[in-house]
Amino acid sequence: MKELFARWSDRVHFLDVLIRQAHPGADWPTYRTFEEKAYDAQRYVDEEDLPWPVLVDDLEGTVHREYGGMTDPTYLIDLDGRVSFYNMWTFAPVLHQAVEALLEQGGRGVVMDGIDQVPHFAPALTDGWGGIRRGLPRSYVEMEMAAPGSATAVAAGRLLKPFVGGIALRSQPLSPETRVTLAIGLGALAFVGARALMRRRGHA
Amino acid sequence: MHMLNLARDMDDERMGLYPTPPDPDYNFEHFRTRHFLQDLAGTLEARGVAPGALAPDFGLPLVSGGIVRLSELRDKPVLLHFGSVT
Repeated sequence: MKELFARWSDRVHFLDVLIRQAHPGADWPTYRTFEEKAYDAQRYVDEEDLPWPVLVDDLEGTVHREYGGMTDPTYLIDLDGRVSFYNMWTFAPVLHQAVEALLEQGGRGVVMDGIDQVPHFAPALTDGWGGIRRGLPRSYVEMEMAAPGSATAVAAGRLLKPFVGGIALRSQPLSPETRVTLAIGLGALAFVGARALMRRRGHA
Repeated sequence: MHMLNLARDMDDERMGLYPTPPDPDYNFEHFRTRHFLQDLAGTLEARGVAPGALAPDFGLPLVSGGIVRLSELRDKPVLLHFGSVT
């Protein structure tokens, strides 16, 4: 997101709206008052050193709900105040393309069929740990109970970040060359794995 | 503050020490499978403001002070993200 901001902040307004706690925990509990929510927002901005404006929705989530109430969505809004693109699971590479397309067509109208409904898990896997960490230990236990393996996957994803972060957190679409290289790499891995399996079976 | 939060975390509601958050269904206390499923269902039905529709106007307070009104930002496109700290 910060890369996206660095690239487009002079041509696009960035707004971040703080919604409810998704994974409440001891030090970041469920909000009971607006003051708690505002306090958290300030703490968040300071901790993450966020360069864009952060707004605080009311306690009932009025604005958040008007916009669908999804957990991590981003809207691209055009010069007429209309929705140009709706990224239901925020994914920087997709947003990058959408912004580029909108600016190319003069800042008005729908781009890229208007919506991206793909549940992008990759950024959550490699970058979701910050959110869970704040809610520890309850956030972890509750995520595991809600979707077995999910919190552990995020913990593992954090460790893998140096290797896959470049792919999962990229702010620009992969080039065709990278895609081909990745495909060959994955294919080779699968081949090696399959051969090892066959060999083991042969010995048994 | 820290101890206060810790105490609050220990299912304080039943002890009646702290008020229940307004609209506990929205401000949920515990993350559950149904929250995840709600998100997936919402994704399938494209829950939210449809492309081409007018984005609902709002005026919300800024962390750094002041109020931002969406309808006053018409000189550039707007990227509007909704997210939580945890």
